[in-house]
Amino acid sequence: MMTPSTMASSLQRILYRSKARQIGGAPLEPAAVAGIVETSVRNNADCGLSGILLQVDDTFIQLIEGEQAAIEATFERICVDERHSDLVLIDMTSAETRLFPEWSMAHVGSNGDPMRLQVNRDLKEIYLTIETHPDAALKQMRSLLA
Amino acid sequence: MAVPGEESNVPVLSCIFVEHDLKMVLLAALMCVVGSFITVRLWRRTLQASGRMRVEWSFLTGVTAGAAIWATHFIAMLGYLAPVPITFDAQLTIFSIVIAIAGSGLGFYLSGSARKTQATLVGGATIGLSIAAMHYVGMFAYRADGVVSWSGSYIAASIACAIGFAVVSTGLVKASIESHGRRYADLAILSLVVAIVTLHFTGMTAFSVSPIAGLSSGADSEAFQAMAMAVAVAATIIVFTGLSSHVIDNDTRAANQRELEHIASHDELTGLWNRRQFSKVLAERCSRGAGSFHLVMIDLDRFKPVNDTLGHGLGDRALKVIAARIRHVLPEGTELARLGGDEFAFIADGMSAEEITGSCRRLVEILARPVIAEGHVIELGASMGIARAFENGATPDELIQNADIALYAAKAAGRSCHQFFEERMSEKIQLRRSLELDMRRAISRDELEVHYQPKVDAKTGAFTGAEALVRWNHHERGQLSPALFVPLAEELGLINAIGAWVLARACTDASSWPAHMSVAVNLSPVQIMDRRLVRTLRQILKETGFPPQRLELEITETALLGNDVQALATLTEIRALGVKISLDDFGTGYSSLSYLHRFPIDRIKIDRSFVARTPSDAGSASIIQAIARLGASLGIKVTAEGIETESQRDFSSAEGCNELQGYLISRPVPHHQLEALFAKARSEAA
Repeated sequence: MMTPSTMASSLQRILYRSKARQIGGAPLEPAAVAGIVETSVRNNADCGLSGILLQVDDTFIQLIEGEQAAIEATFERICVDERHSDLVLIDMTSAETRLFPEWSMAHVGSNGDPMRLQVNRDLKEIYLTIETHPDAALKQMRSLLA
Repeated sequence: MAVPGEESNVPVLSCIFVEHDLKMVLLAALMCVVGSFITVRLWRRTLQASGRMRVEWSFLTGVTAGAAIWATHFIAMLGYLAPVPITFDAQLTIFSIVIAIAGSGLGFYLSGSARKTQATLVGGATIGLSIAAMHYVGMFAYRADGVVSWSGSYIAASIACAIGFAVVSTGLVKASIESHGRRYADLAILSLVVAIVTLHFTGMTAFSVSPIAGLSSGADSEAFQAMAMAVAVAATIIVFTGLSSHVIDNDTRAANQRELEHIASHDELTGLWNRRQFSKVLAERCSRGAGSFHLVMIDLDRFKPVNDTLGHGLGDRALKVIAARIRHVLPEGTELARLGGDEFAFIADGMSAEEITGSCRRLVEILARPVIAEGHVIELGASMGIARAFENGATPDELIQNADIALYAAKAAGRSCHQFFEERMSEKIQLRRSLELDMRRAISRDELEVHYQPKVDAKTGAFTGAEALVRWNHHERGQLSPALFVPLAEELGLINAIGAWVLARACTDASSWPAHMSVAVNLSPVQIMDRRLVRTLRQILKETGFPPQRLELEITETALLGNDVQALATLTEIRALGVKISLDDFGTGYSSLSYLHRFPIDRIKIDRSFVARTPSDAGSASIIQAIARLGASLGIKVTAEGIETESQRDFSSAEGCNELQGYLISRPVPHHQLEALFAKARSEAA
């Protein structure tokens, strides 16, 4: 059990990672990812959530921020979604302000584009440090959108 | 009787067919049948009601039956082809309907009395009599301008028939309720119809009228038909109002019944089936004897601490979420129940062992994902045990027992997994279960005992108190060590009860010790996370009157790990009572110096493993030196545990430990021996 938040109606932030479940051993299609992102943008906008979804190879790292009830409902929906495997809740904190106020769900993924070497390197670094240094990783995630 | 000159062999039949307008007779008959049908339905309801409700239902039945009987009579009268002019006396006509309603209503009420035979006879006779009374009062209202004559014997016969058939009808209605038989109800309707019809036509046979010469003859048939229709419509409205009340009541009752059944068969919190309903379904499946299926029992891991530390409100929230997740994973329509607490079960039908394995893996994965509720992250997990009908049991009990055994095996295998039942699991788990049962009874059987290991002042060698250590004298297995049964007690949620008992025992025993001596009692991490601990402690201190300053609670570092906010709050509260806190087994765990700083700690107990290697092992020796100095500089007392040799004693006291404990001083002993030790020391000192 983690520390309970002290402010009942406050803004909350959750950070989790998961892997895309390989269905029949096939790698995840970019179109499928686009679909997931689109659904998530729509859902999040409806309930006042913002955040960012990173994709590093077959791992997703998602940060969601918003009101407690919306966060709880969304996380529960993610938990029963069978497209996720190895889901780990990395952190849950209460927050004063949003980190991604302008994004219903920003999406940054790694790919083979040589122009995006820096982005890919950042993603890899976030992937490696997210669990040990979530705060620093969050800052780096924010800078990806700058 | 017929009009003179048209005598027939069967006067009643000729009365019907010759002296009546058949259309009217048919309308009257229809009224009679429909009315009787509805009356019997309402009557059955009346007989099932009690108290004030029986009065209300009698009234409603009376209104319906009275209106139907009266309308039957009146329409038939209008259909009577009198050879003379006819008028009706309004007052008497109205009085006759009042008789029909009040009389039959009384009869329906009486038919529901406690004494069965009497109720049938008296109730039935009252109904029959009211039909007859209504008929003859109605006949007085029937003014025929002619010579009227009555036959006494037909009157008597008509009344006897009405009473007789009404009694028969009453008996049949009562029988229909007892036997739930439709046939009796149908026969009751028939005999009620017969009672009304025979009364009317036998009564009309008794009546005859012949015209007086000079007066115009014949009734105004068109006006009569209009009146008949009006009466029929009015009566029909009344009768159907009775029916609709009955239907509404039935629907309401059926809805209530359904709601009650839902409540009785479902778990209120999760909306899943409850244990009762699940047992029923399982029993049905087992009794079918064909079509194998699997019984899967699910038990949550780490649920009890959630309830204990976060409260039942959040525990319930978590259960609801878990129930929804289980339902989500399983195919729609799966027979799934919450058996109580954190226990769920479902019947896997038409699934192969591989498919069940797949489902269980998904369940294990999804239920292990954290639940977020009210800003708390609740980490649960689930273990599953599976038994296959009919290989692992043919009865519900056997199946449940074996699925349970498989569940135990899953838990023993490290939780968050599933296990299919295998025969070899039984024996091992039976042993554990029997120990569990025994442990639940250990306190009441007085099998627990507290032993004490004395402690001495490192400088003077004088006794300073003792540590309380629980023992279990198992009635069959002999003395069991805490190392064996405390983990089991923690797992079973019995540690709080056992811990409270030990605390109370220690405080009571130590009350007889010299006033400067303290008693130390171990607290399990589970106890520290129990919100009731402080309250329990306060109550024990109050009941035993033991001074809190002389009580020391020993905790281990693991109790502080992970739950430090809650632990800190609890320990601060305990400290506020005046009770002292000591940190046990120091040096073995994380030995985080921040704990010493952040937590209200009065004493450190150096772990015996270091003491055992002194003074020869340089590493251990320097650890003891360091801890002793640390204690001195932080103002925390230091106790060296496990002193077995004189050199260990000398080393520890020389390095600055304040207190010593170990076999060299004394083994743990029962209380009476400890008192003897203390007494001997006092007398030597004196």
